[in-house]
Amino acid sequence: MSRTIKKVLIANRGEIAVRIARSAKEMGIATVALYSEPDRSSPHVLMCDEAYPLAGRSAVETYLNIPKILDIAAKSDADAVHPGYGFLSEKAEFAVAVTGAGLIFIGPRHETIALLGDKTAARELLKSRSLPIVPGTTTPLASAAEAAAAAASIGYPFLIKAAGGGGGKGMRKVANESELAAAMERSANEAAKAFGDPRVYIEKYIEHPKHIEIQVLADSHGNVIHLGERECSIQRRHQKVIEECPSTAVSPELRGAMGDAAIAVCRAAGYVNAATVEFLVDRHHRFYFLEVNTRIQVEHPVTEMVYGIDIVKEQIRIAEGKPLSWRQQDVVPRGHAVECRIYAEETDNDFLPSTGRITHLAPSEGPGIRHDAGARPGSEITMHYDPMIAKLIAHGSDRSEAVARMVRALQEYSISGVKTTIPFCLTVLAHHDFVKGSYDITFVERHHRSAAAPVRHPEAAAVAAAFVAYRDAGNSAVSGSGPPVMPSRWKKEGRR
Amino acid sequence: MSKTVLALGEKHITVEERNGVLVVDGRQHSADIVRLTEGEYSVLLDGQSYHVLITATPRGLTATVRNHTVPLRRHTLREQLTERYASKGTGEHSDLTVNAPMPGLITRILRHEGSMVTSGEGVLVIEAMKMENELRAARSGTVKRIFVKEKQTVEKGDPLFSIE
Repeated sequence: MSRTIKKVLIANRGEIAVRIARSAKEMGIATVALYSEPDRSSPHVLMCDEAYPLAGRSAVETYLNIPKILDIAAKSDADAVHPGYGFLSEKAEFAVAVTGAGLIFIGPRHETIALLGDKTAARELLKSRSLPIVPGTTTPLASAAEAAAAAASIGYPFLIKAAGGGGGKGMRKVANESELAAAMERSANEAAKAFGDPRVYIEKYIEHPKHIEIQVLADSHGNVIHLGERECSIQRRHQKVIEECPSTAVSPELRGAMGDAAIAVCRAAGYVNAATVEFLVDRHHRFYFLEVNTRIQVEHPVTEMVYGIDIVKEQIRIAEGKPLSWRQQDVVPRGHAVECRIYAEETDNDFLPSTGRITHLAPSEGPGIRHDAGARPGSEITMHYDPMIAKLIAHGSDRSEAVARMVRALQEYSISGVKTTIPFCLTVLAHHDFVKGSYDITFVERHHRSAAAPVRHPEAAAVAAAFVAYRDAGNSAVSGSGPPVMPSRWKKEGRR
Repeated sequence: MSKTVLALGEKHITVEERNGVLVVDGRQHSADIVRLTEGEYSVLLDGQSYHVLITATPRGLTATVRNHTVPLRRHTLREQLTERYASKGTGEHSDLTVNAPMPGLITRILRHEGSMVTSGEGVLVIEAMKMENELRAARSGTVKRIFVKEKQTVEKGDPLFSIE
């Protein structure tokens, strides 16, 4: 059964709402945005054809409010809903509500979301098909005593993880039994807050693994293909900051084996739409299933750049009931792509969010550069939402060109008002282990030095010169009890 | 000719004009400066091109140059004198106050006033962006005061607790 989508409601905000709207527009589909009170001037509101308010500020009142979102879908006469990532994207009850209202949900069936969203059920499914999972429990733990018993068989250290969802929320490493009870309590608390589900399970801690994931597309006609891997091992607080495609650790043989495993996982789950199957890969190139993300992934652009396929358009076509546009043998990687996530964070202060107003933003441009932003000059970064400002993606004919291009683009990126991850990304890209491609998920904790590099003399002098001009322009914020303002004759001298 | 002392992050620099020449920390520079937009400058310093952003934030000015962003403050004469004569001692005998590293919600208080803590032990838990962050004692001692209550929201920099 095939239905053409004419108007899509985008149940999200920030860069992913903008990203989805772009593909929809290119397909001639009308776009409907939603916005919370602080997001009235956000790019997704400015660029969509229609926009309606979700009264309130917090995520719960706004982008997580299913009845309000469905009201707007009805009022705007949308025929489909794209959930983006985060928020309601992996909530089976949202997919149920959307389809129940007679709309197309651009994502997998709700049964699939529920099955794969329950991390222990997904592990059980894989185990039953003899697919490789990380050793650990496949049922949620009832108590610390039960966890201690399981730990005795798999050994320390291990990870406590949330059964109700991924993304590193609720995840804790436990090195020995004395840490177990407290870690379990905190994980359960975080999991309850993030997913409304306090259940946790444990997984063996794999030493120095790489986080590598496979992009899968599956249509409703039984066709399932993969678009290779993304390497996502540069993480802080269990969240990715830099991703690349392809991975230096993945040979064509390994890509084939991981791709086949990812396709098998999706077939076992009866998957339809775009999926990301995450794996850990150890030093011996053995891979273990981690989880399936049943939505578009933040880092999808690196795959798009290398494979030349618009994944959001493909999601929409699949949701319309059309067959995939490509067969596996037609899918060919070209070159290399790197993505850096630009977060408003204090990288010299444990990556804590840096809230404030973006006063200036001039992104990088030029060959091979893509900028997917959810903020603009004047945007406020609040504690209500994820502090990601934008994603910067560089594509090159090979890895060294892509990395050099990314370094150039990060240097060119001009932003003020909040602190960002740009200096951190530059440090990572220059590190010899990154340059060689020999890094794993412990890279940031092993190499990150939180002390920021001091400003050197010429830069300091340039700032001093700018400061004098700034003060002379009559900016009251700088007038203090110091000596009177001096006229800056040297500025005129300098121009002669 | 008057000198201005600037605090640029941890670094202090003096800037002055001598016979129409920019002098920073005693070094002479040829400088050409053009304002691009508000707070945004192109500075050509001895032929090197710098793009400088000066931003007024609620916590004061910041300067951004070549991917560095640092607080920028004009140092008054009084501050220079105070700093020169102030005791540098913040050793083991004084109180240590821990401030909120970010805006957030105090979800749990793990220690009460008067309890002993060893360095690295958690004192309270602050939540922001759905992540719980345990704030730990930076050194061993007695929790002298806890300035916050559970369920209270705090701004960055608010005092949370002190250790004696």
